[in-house]
Amino acid sequence: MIELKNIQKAYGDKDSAVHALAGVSLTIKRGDFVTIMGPSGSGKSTLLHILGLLDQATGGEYLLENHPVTGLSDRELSRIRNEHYGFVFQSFNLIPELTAIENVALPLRYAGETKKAALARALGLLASVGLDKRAWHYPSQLSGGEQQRVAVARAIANEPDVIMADEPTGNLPSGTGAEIMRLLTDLNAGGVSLVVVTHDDHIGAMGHTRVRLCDGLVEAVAS
Amino acid sequence: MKARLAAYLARRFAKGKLSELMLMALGVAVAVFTSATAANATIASRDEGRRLLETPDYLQIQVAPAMMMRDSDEAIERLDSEETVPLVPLVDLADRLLTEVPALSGSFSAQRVNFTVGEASARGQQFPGAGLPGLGGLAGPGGFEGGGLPPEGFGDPALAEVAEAMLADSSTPAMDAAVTQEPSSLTPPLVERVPGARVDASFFDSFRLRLASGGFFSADDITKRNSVLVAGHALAATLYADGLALGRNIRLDGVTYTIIGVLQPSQANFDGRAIDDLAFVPNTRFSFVAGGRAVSFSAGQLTFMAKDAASVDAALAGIQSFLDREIGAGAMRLSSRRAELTERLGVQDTLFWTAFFLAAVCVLVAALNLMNSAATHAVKRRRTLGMLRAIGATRADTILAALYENAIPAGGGMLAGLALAVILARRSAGLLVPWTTNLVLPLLPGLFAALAAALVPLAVGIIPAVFFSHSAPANLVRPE
Repeated sequence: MIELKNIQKAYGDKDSAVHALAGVSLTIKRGDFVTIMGPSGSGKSTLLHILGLLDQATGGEYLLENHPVTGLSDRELSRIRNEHYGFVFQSFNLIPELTAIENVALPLRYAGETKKAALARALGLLASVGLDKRAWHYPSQLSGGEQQRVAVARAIANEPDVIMADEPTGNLPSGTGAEIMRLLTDLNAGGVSLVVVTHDDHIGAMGHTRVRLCDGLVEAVAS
Repeated sequence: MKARLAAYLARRFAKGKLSELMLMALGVAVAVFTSATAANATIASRDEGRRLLETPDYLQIQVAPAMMMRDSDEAIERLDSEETVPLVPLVDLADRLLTEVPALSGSFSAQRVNFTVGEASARGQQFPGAGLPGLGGLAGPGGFEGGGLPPEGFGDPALAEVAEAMLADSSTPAMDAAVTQEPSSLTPPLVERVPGARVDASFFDSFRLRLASGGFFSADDITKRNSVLVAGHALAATLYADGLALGRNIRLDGVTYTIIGVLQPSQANFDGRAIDDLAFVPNTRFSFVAGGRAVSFSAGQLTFMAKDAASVDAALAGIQSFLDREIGAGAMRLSSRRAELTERLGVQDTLFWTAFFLAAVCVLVAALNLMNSAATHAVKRRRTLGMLRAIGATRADTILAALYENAIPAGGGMLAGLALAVILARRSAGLLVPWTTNLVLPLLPGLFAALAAALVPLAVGIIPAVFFSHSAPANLVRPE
């Protein structure tokens, strides 16, 4: 489904460029569960951002369903992110001015759903993560675990092909983190591809494909 | 759909900081609008002042003994010192002054009074000659017989002839009705007090006044202390709604006056009142022998008229020089309404520039605060914008949301500022333009100013959003 060929990402000028990714090749198949591990600064998050089309590579080729994404317009990239990818971040990244249900409904609204239909579906999604009773609470009124569950509900709003999670349990107590991982693995079991960046060896070990990065290069891939 | 979504997000984003941003936008709008309005009002006021400077009212130069002027402390001091205060035969000097000071075009004697209206008298009654109130001992029997019309020899003889002819002609119902009503059928005017002035015959020439009907009173009316009255245009209409003021009698301060003339509408003022509103009666000149020579004076203040606006200063200097020479330095004091107004215009200019400077500082501070706040909010929204991009918003969507978000407080602030500024401007209009009540404050420049006050923070507020929109979403969602 997603194929990265020799992906490079450099920051700064040509002479003093810092190479976050020095040539990463990776394939993510439908229904796959990929964990990406590595020390700080190894390029894990950068790789995830490039996978999720949140950032652009400075070299290499990105193929989505065998089509290169290079040269796609902002509108087309936004549509792909909206329809095919879902994101879960370490710091939740919920919009603080919106309630839980409104946060979940937002991707649906960008997909063209009416407000009423989007809110109805968002309520169902919140129920699926056990938060329908907290639907009209603002993020500041929710615990960390609840916020991350809202983020998961938002990530799956448009039934994405891939969920990309960057340290999804990094800010959570272990028990709550386990609940979040259970939610994500359940989704993966339902056919959604899952890419998780983590420092946690236990979570890392859960992946069907385990990628270890070091200095912007794939050090090891295990299946 | 996207626009509605952006508006929805903007409303939610703006909700938390609406009061803060609106207050600052309000400050900008009010400061800009009030300064613009104040500027316009001051300019309009100054223009009005400059126009007034060219009118006869501001060609006047008042002459009065220094003792009669406002400096009562000085007067008391001089009296206590038993200093001899000369009795100044001003009226006698007036003719010489007019001859010797070429910048003068004429003089008149006048005194502003407020009459109390009594019931009107009817034709055929004999009016007690009360003369001038407050000067009873000096005044002679100023009444006359004949009721509604001035008797023979009073005023313009031609007017008397015309009036007699009109009386004889029954086809002239207006005058006939006015003079043949029975006392019981005469309706007293529905006003209790009438502003007026005791003036001499030169007054009307000095103010270039024209008659709508009837005639002016003559020098003879002055010397004989006739009880005749010339009514301003508006006063006549107020007193007699039927428009038949001429020939009617009106009792003022216990004296029955016959209206012998009604003025045409005039823009002129006398002593702060519109000529149109005033009733003019003769200002009697008194004569007696003092120190072996005849001295005459009038009850009112002697006023000289400069030939034109450019001659006022020369006229002042000429009069001062003459009086110093003839009467003695410091005995007389001159006052010029033109000088007072010119001084006031100068103060107004200072006031305007001070207000403008303060308003500009307020605008600057408020604008800087608003820009800073808008930029801070936009920076704080960095991750939100990044997240919106991650879940499907395009660059344009995020800019649109930021635009709407800033438009809400900016627009609200502008409208609130506009309303407040209009109230302030209207309240302050009377202070800015004391000599006119019908000045219309120009709103258009103020509207432009308020619009600018709203657009500046709006533009500043979306700049960070535009900047962020060119950044990769990954850079925005990344923790700081």
